Amino acid sequence: MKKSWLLIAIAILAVALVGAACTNAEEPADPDTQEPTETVDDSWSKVEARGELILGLDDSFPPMGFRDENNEIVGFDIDLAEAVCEYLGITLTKKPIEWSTMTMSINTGEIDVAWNGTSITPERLEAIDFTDPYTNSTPIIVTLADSELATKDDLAGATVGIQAESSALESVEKEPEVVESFAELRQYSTYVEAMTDLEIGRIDAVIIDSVAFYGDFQPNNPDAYKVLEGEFTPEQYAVGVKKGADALREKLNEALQAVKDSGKATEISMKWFGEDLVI
Amino acid sequence: MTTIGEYFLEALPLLLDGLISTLIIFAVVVAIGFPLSIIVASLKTIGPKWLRRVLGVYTWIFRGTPLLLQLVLVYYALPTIGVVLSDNLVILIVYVLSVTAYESEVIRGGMAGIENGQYEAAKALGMSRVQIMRRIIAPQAVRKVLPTTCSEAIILIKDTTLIAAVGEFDLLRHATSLVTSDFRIDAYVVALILYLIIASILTLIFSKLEKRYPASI
Repeated sequence: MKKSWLLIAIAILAVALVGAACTNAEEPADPDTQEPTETVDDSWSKVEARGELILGLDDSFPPMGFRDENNEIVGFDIDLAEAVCEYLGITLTKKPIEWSTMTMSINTGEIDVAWNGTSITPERLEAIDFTDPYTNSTPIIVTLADSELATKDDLAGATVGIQAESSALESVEKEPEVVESFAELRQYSTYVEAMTDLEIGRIDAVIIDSVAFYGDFQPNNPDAYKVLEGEFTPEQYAVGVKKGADALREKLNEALQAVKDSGKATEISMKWFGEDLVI
Repeated sequence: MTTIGEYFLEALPLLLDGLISTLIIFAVVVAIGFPLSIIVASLKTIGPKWLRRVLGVYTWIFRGTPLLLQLVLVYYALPTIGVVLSDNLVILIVYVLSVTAYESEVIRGGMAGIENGQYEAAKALGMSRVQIMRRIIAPQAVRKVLPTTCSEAIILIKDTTLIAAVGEFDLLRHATSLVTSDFRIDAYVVALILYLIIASILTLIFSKLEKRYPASI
């Protein structure tokens, strides 16, 4: 009797939760149909009035946005965002967020932009809008310098590491026949863990965003790694904004263009990557 | 946008995959860790003094540090001194040692609650210390601590979420990847329900065990 009581309680709880999830899910489901009621796009005027742009980031993605030895958030994207804010005459506020639910942070207004090596993907385009891309990143294949692997095809039968929930993973999954040829595709929380496991020897190769590799791992340990021949589909990095926030998006595009035209963007790229990767 | 019902069916295979990992770890760790806990608790009670000290230090370390830290250290730091273990072995060793540290203390508590007269009576019958432990003390102690052991079991289920730290996928990790790729939190709700179902099953099993093996005979 006690048992059935427990089961009933669980059932009620489960139904209540599903109900709650249902209403939550429906709310942002059709932004297009809700749009007409919102006649004024105040996305830029709100930021302008506040005088600050709130930039959401996962503070562990070197060299785009990460914490240096003084616990300050720095990086290529941060410098670029500072330059953009300077052009717009506002200040930049950096807000570390849970990156996996980044689109929700944008849609609730917790942050104005998601700007941290944010690549444009079809899934993300359903939930948010993007500015013009400012750089490309290509997932490349990295092994230890003394590895016998030489090309992408050699990965057949190899154990390969990658960062979970990363855009590199999405690129790789576009080639299912390649993934299936691996002995295993191991997913790590961060690239640091994947690269550590590569050094330990548990995995044979790591597929990593070229910006992360050339901006972070390669400079720290120039002779340790080898980049294999062959790569995956490049991704474009852009700034993520709330769906329909066209005024803010236009303003950011204008500022990005100005920063590119003035040569400032190239300067920032040289500082972080040693080459001009701005497009 | 699919409805929650359709989404549930879509997400379920992946989440069940994670659930299976969670349950396998749980089953293996319990199968090794529970008998080991009884042995360790017995040794803590009647073992030689030096062994009791060693076990005390072991309990102190594994109960006093976060499980996540133990996992990460064994996985990423041991290789620097030349010990490279596979991920499954790391998970098995760390979880068994951690669970045994807690559960052996729980069982030892149950043993301490058994009155001295029983030891003396058994001794008078000519039983050795090992026989007293195996026939008289341990069976009673395990019955006494069933409710606490149920809590420990549920905690273990939830602690399996930490295997994500060494690149393995459990139920919660699969749910997180679904949330990230689909941008809806529904997968978390499904995971929550699955965890509640496992906890309910464990609670039912233990309440049956408690009825079958009451604490006082």
